[in-house]
Amino acid sequence: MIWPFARPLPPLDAASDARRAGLSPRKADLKQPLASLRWCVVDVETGGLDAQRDPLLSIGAVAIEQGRIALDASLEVGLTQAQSTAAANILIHGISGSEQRVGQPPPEALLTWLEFAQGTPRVAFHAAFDQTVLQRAEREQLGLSIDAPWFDAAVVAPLLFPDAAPHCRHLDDWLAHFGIAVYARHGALADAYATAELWLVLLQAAQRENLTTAQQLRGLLRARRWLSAN
Amino acid sequence: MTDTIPLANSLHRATLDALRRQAPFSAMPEDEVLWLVQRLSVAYFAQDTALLEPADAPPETLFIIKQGTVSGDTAEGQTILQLATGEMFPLGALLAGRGAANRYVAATDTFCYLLAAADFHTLLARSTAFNDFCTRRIASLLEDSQRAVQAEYALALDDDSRFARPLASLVQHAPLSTPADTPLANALAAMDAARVGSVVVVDETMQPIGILTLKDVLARVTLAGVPLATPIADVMTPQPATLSADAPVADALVLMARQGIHHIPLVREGRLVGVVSEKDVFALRRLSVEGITAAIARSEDAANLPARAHDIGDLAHSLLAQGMDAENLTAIISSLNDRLTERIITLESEADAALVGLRWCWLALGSEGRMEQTLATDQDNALIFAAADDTQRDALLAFARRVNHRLDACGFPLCKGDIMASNPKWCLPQADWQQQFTQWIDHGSPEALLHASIFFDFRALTGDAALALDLRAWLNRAAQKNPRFLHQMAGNALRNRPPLGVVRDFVLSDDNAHPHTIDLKLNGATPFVDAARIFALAAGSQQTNTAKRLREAAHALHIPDAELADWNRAFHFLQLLRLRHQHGQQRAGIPPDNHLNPDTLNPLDRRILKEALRQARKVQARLAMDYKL
Repeated sequence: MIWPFARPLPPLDAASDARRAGLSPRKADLKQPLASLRWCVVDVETGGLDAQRDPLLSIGAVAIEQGRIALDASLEVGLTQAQSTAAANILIHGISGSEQRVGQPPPEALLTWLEFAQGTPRVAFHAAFDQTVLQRAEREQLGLSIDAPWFDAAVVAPLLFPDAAPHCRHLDDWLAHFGIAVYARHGALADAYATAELWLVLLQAAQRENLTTAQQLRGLLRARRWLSAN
Repeated sequence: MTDTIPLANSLHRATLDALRRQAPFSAMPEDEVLWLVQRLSVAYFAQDTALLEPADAPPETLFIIKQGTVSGDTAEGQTILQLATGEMFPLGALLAGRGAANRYVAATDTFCYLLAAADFHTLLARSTAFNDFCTRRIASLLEDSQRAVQAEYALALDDDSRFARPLASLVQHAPLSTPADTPLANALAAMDAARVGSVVVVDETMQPIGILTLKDVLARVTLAGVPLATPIADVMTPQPATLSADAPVADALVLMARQGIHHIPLVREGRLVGVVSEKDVFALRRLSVEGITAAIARSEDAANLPARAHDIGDLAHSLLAQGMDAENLTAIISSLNDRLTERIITLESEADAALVGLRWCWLALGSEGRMEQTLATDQDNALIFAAADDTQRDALLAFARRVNHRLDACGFPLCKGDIMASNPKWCLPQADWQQQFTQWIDHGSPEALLHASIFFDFRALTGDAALALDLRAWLNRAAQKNPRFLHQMAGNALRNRPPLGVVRDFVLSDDNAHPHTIDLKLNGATPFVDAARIFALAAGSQQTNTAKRLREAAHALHIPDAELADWNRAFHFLQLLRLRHQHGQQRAGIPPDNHLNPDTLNPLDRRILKEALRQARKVQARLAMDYKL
């Protein structure tokens, strides 16, 4: 993990400043067995579909430890907004203006998120979006640029279940394919949790394919990207 | 729960809601379930992977199936359990602190909640509802099922005009009400004076804010030692369930059944206008045990008795609808059928001059002998007499034939196997019965064992009971002297295994006449009946009733009370299922039988059925242990 102190950090209150300083820079060892690696499965809700511009509204995350999702260690945090976003986006996410304004101030919310995620590999469905949004917010609010490994369930799933891939595009398709229920669609924590159940299925399948470490899995993903790019 | 609970997020809340849709979590307070939720983790098991292997050490985790099916296999690889969503395992091993005996394998792709053993034990110590469920699994499931049955039948009765009447029509006098600050002494005195079972506590606008019933007084006032100067508000049930005075009677039936309450305040525009009690509601019943008994006793013509038999059936249906338990219900059916049979026998014997001066006794056999009759029951009976010449013997046979045909007319079909008093083989003097029994005991052939299973449950019905009692005493001595016979009976009983499934929950019949069913009698109730008979013969008991036999034997065999209670509950649940099944068939105009398609049961009853069959296996295991089989 890289902590660029070249630029001055955005000023925070004393408590938050101490929390920022206390963030552990330890990076996960991707050569550990898949089964014992800690994963952080995350989903974000934003005020729009533009990852570069639209505001981050909430973060939901669960941790997978020793191959199990621990329910007590789950994160659900809203970010207070200076002003609520356009009505159009409310239609997508169903978060009303008043709900958008409850929550924690963005720096505190992001500190809570980073304390939860630590250096563990992140998992999301269509991870590029969540990665972009979170990294932008971490940079803007905390001045941190954190280089934790990201894994995209949307890429891993078709690789391990090629037969199902042609009729599974969206998260809902994959959840339906494996019979996984979502208790509240478009809630950040609900989607993160459903993705985590999907990830448990994928981890088992990976081990069946003799992929024993996250590094091997990443190697396979890179090869696949190279193949599809050429 | 004393631990501080972290604020519940939406995932905890959703998990809590999902868990609380099933027993035992539905009966647990929210904070207890939340405590549990925050200690759970979720794991995935692909089809055919093992969740738990048999081990010497106690299991580290409790599994609660979130989604999917798990099978429990014996060391020999035989699947003996199928567990579905909401079910927990390995409860026995966790409770006893021993290793799991079975191997648990995901039969389909499965998600499970996992709870660490230490947390399981903490929850057990803290939550009464959870503890009850785990230690008295079958008992608590049954209570839930009973509630559901009552509600269901009450609704089925709704089309009956008696239950469509408005509740107001049942109210006979003004309700007894009192303000919240009334001292108990005054309130109780007023109840006594008005001779009512409840008092409603009202506010200034006559809105009901609480209720106190005589039943509450025992626990909350008398036993709790609450001084009578205490205001009634301190001990009342606050916010009682109320109904509109214009609501139909059926609504009160459902509410009483669902909430297990006996008094409901009636309101109009929020104001108290009356109270209905369970007694008021059930007083609408046309038939009662006393009424039918009296009508049978009054009948001077046997031709009238088929109508009384019909009444017995109607009463049985209505008692079933009110949620009466199987033990009492089968006892009531049997005792009314006894009265009916006695009346037929009396009418037929009094009119017969040839029988004068003869000592004889009519014997009830089989389920009637055990006082366990259901709605589908054919005749099993016999006659014993002291001494008779050939003419007298013919007279007895002719009398028996008349009784058998009268019973047939009353809806007890003639026995297909001809086990009836009119068969000369089963109309015998004392000495011949002893000889016949001796032959069965010594012979031990399958046919002899089958006969023993029917005849050895004999009970004196009418006539000279001393003849039957002497025969029973003689039989007990003969059976105890012959351990080989009891051993053969036990071996024979164990050949009939409860049909717990390999691929699905239950092993279903491959019999073409009744495809996709289980035989609740042969495969469900019979293992209990057979084991109880052997226990009773070994102990020299006079009892013929299965539950009573088991109770007596439990003492002699040092079977723990809890285990005995589970056996009897399981047996009576199977009997109840038979009654409900036959009730449904009779309503649909189908001749009643014992072949149930388990797919027609609701998930709760399916679980109890599985549990009941598991108990049947336990009884058999006990038999196998006692007889080293």
